[in-house]
Amino acid sequence: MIPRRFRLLAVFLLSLLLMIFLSGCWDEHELHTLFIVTGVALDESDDPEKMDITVQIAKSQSKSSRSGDTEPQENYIILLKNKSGTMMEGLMEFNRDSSRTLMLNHNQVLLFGSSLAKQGIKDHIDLFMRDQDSRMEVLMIVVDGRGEEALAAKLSQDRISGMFISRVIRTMSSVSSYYQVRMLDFVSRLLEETTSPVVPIVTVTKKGKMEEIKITGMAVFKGDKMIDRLSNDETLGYIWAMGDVKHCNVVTSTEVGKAVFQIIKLDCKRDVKIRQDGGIGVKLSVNTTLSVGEISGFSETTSEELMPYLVKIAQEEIKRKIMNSFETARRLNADIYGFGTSVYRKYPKEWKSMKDSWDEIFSDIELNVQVKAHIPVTGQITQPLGMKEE
Amino acid sequence: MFFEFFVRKIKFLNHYRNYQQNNTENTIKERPIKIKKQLRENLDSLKTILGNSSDLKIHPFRFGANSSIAGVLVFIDGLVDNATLTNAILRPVQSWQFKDNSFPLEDELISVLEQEALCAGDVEIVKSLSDVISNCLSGNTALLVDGCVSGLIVNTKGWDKRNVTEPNSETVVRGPREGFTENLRTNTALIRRKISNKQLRVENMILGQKTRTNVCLMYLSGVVNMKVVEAVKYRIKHMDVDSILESGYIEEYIEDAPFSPFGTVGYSEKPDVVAARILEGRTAIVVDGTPFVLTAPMLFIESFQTAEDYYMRPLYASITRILRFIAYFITVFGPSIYIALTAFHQELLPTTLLFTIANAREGTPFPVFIEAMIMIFAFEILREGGIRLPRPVGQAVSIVGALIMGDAAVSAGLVGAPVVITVAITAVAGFLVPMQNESGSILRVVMMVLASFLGWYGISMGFLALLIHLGSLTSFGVPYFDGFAWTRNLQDSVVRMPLWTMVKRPKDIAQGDTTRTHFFIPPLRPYETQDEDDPEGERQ
Repeated sequence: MIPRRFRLLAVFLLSLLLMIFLSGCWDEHELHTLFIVTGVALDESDDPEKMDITVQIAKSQSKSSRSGDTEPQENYIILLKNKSGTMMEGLMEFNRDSSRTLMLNHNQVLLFGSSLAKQGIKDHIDLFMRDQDSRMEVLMIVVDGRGEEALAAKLSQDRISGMFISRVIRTMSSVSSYYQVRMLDFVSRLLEETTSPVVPIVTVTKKGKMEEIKITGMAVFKGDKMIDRLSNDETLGYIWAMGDVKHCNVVTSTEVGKAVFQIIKLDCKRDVKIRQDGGIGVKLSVNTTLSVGEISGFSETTSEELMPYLVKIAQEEIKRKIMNSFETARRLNADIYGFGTSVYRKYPKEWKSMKDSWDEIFSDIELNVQVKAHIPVTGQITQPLGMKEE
Repeated sequence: MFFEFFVRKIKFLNHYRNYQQNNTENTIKERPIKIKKQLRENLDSLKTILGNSSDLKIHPFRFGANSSIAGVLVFIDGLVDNATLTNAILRPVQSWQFKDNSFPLEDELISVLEQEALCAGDVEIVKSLSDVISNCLSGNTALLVDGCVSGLIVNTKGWDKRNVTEPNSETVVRGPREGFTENLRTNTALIRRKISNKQLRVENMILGQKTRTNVCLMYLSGVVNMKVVEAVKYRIKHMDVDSILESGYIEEYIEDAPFSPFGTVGYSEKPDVVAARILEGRTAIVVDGTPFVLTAPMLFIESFQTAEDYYMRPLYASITRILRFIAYFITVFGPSIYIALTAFHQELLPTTLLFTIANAREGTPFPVFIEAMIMIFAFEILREGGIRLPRPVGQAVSIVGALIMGDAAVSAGLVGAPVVITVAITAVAGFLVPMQNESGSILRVVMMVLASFLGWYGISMGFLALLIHLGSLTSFGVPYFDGFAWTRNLQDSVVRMPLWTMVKRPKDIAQGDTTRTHFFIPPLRPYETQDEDDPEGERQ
């Protein structure tokens, strides 16, 4: 008979052992058994029940092949394509047909072809949210045309187009974080019911043997369906209205001269109120600090007049752009600004009755934009060359 | 502790054997042989005991009036200083004249010789032949006189010894360059010269049934924790050891945790380091025949403190000490973290870094764990080769190692370059903390195995187990992790505060006189000293 003491000890040790061996182990995957996915594109398929899935994989270069200097571009990436009803099926098929397992951890971008985006994307992103391998931080991009083209694009700047797009977006996020739409942001805006998500849209153009990928604006979604797009100019108005600007230029052009300002700081206070007639009035007070980036012309203006004039044209330009993009949003009847959420936060009781008819109320919004700019910095010189001294 | 069971078992066996031995020992205990009156008889028994060894020298001579007395000098050739022998014994004894021309009685003769004739400082009268032998064997000279039942032992120790040179194991840029030698007395003198304090105690003992090695216990009474001294003495007393050739022999017998990868007895080759430890209240064990002096108790933090920390200004000293902590962390966890990241948690790596590593891994035949193991084995082989070989050959080994292991292995596609980098950093980082080099190289492999099975989970489990183990370790009753806890004086732990802030000696180690200085005195400004020295200065 084993003493009770030892039995207890044995049970304790055994449970410790179980703790060790019932965890961990299973998710060991050596690097050379993995395909590092750098981009996933979903496109409309000719079969209405299915979609085209394209996966871009960064191909690891072994030491010997790296030494060769003239490598064909195709060798840097592997594109896998298939057609399936759900994302999971597609991934399973990829794993079955390829020598390695797909690893979604480092997926950089999730691309949607514009035609698929117009049909709605809600059903396709479930896996990316549910699966523990893929991250909610993956960037969402709409591609003008088909997404697979963007993944297959040969670029002069970067070998892997998925990496390229994510780098471009991250560079743009130094302008405003609104360019960087992660799946997390997209979903949280989708959950706000009345708010329309916006997602950067890129266009692939041919340029000789290579291709170019450019951000050409923002795709506007109504619910999960893409309805239209904002141009780059309208996008600026949108991000200024949202008040989240880091480094951005305000380009103005008048008959007397051109001036480009750099935004040092831009605050946009939003004040919503219910009008007498039941509609909503929104007051945006933009408070911005600018610095003079570049001036040309203004040879007729005296140096005393110059500064107030510059302030004036900067204010007008900011207001014009904001109004411009708002008019587009009103035309599309898409609340890209989240005014609905602001109303809900301020008037939670009244919101209940407004919620269902928000589309009509949105198109009737009275927008009042007040811009206050001041320019404390003119850069290293105060006046442009050849200005009249007074 | 996992090993407690085994330790108990071993202790039991030990006791059992001791018990048996004591029973048999009583019967064959040799009785001391008395010195006989006949000189010839004594010499004969000496020769039989020492087996006619060729280095035993017996020098007969005659002295006294008309050379009437026969005497003999017994010593071991090579252990005695011939000049002392001649000047202190032979010449004075042979030229010595009896006062009043009277001839002292036989028994008196020895004490008269001791008091009047010999020109030596260290003389002792012995009555047994076994004492004569043991003294001769340790380098003394015995003077036996025909007709006397006692003999004289004169200290004539003088053998070839190494000079005090710069220690190889601990080199410094700034600080004393002297190191201990193989000679016990030189070593105790070196320490005594650092601490010329009346409270510095030196206790002698002889250990090892066969080697009869001299061992000294040194401590600062009044500062030292007497419990530690008692523990050291107790453990040394209960050692049943045949030979002691190096201080490591003693270390193994007295350490708290014989199965731990961490050493719980400190050692140093530098007198200033040992002196500093004694001043902190530690006990030093100086062993004859080795330049390495043991110090106890030893704390984990001690491995990260170097002598130079205290000779440099505190800011830089603190930075280098933090660097040492980081280096030790790297040397233990570096390869395992690399394994965990590349084989389990690729999502934790930045994408571009992942590409780089994936490119390097492409086409390598082994799993990353095997790859890292190969490199670490290669490194350990090279290191061992470099240490054991003579210096010129060692250089060749290091060149071959650097070229073959570093470059050829990568270009042949056997291992990936990132593994080589990781192992190289790991190896170099290990040298920053030489005291923990052994534990580092053991734990590194353990962590790698854990990481290869369980990834980060394994590492964190290993880390916790390590912390628990370290937390449970003690060194002579002092917690091994002392010096990190908030309740302790932290002036000298992760950072080294200025010396003038270290008002107290470390708790738990020092007992009694625990204050170093009574006040917290920052350096005085020039005008402050002027005020004190020259109070008239104000009038002018």
